[in-house]
Amino acid sequence: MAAGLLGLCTRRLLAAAATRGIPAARVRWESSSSRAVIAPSAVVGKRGPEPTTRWQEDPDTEDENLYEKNPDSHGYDKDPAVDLWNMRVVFFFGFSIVLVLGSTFVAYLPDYRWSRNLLALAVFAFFQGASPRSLDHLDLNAAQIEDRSKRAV
Amino acid sequence: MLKIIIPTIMLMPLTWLSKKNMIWINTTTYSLLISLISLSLLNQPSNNSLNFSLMFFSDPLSAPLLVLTTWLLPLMLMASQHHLSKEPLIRKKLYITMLTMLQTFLIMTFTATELISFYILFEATLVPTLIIITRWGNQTERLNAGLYFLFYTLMGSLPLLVALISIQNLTGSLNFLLIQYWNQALPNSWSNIFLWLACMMAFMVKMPLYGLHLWLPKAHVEAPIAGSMVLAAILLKLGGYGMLRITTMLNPQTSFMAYPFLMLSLWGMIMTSSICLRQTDLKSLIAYSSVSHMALVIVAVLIQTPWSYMGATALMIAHGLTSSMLFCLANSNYERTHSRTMILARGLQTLLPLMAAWWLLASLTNLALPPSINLIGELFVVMSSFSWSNITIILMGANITITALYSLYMLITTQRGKYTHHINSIKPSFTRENALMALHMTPLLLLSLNPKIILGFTY
Repeated sequence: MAAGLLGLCTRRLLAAAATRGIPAARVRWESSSSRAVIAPSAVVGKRGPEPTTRWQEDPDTEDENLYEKNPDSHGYDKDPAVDLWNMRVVFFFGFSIVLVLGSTFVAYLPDYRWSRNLLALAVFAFFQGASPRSLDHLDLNAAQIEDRSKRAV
Repeated sequence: MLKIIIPTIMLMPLTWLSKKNMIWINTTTYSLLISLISLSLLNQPSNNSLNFSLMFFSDPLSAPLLVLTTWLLPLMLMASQHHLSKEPLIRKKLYITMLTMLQTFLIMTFTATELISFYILFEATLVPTLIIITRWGNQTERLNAGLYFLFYTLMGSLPLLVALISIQNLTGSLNFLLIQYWNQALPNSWSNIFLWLACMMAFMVKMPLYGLHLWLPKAHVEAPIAGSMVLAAILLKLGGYGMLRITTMLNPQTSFMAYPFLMLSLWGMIMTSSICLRQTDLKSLIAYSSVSHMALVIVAVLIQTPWSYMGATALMIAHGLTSSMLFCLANSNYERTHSRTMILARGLQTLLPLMAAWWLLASLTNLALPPSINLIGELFVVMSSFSWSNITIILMGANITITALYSLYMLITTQRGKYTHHINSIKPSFTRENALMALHMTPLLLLSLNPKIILGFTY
């Protein structure tokens, strides 16, 4: 039985060797206990060797080194003048205009929750009968932001 | 809104009429100016929404997403300049036109008032994305990736069309501004359960939910850099945005229908984070990382509490910037080695130290290091899910740990150690690449100082 199993393993090895195109070992094994014979598979040699697995996903590129012709290249274009202006435009509009002006705008956005609470306070006071003049002297500290910790998480 | 939509549409004639050496300069300049204009939408004086017209509106949920969309176009243009440099002029212009068309559809999707209009634009975004992936992707697998991307989304969203038409019949209007005052609960019946499923599946596929996520690694990996950036940063958030909008109409079914999807998301975030630890392909790792982060957003949206909504919106913006930056970093490797295999481009810190700094920052934000907005989003989601069910802390905690593990694994594999012999002749980093990373990281860091603008309408 062990010999039979050994034969099985050898058969699998030879089959695997055949499908993977590795030249099969030229062995012939004959069982002493049965009439089993393991010989190199007939299909060995019919399937060509597997091509070497390429390690690059994109192997056929011709890389152009932008630094060769223009050591001061910024990576935008081959033409040094266009490259320079592209870099300037990106830095000026991207950083100086959008990031600086944009973050200033966002930083100075009013706190609408506070102003809405103040308005609610004023309306409440008015309907409680407060005179319109006293609305000018509302306690600004009373316009608290709602205590969110008491809300459902 | 026309002050944003019309300039974006006009980027197309600008591209076609520009001179050969001015196309990138012109388009980058004007797209940056459009993003400046879109910042005005962050001024939300009303408790409700900022209504521009019957067709367009913006509220604290859509405004940050819109700003992210308009900010991303110039970054996509900058990232694409190198790999398109050898293409003929017409193809460059076509590429920019596709990006601009996608941008226009996305802007209109995020600001649409009417759900059918939202649906049409949601589907319309598929077309330019598909063209970008299948025409400009690098490997032959891009065709398969395009098929997966298109058909997964279509299969999910066709039932949504039927459901929307049915809701239009029932309620008489699909306008967001009116529907939020529609207080009638959907009666419990089998058909309403299917209605719930029909409404949600499109967004689940888009997010994507674990189980329906197979299109994402393919599409992200095979797409060119601009395609990967827009997919990761914006298109996934369309799903989150859609879910946040449509769940207002789907009560009370959400309270019991959400369970299977919550379980799938909670389990899926662990699975996809773990898969990241086994990835050899860098882009594939970042793609699976996106699935994991979006699973957190799905959990947050389905729990439906104020804090979870805040966490979902913050996480969407944070992940948009971080993921896009990671794809740009992966692309900077790919342009040098022409391979996405991580171990083939290792030890880069010695050769490109400034790029290593960007890698470090991107990895740290990816693993939600305080005080970044990634942490704020994740923390809010974890806290609200703990409040929903205490046991979720185990899965959430495991996810946070595994996220840290794969982020650091990616950083260490690409940056640390001895560099390989075949990459010691790679070119130094370009100003373009450093500017690109800075333009991703600066808003991310600035938002940590003022996160309230990205916390959505429950702040």
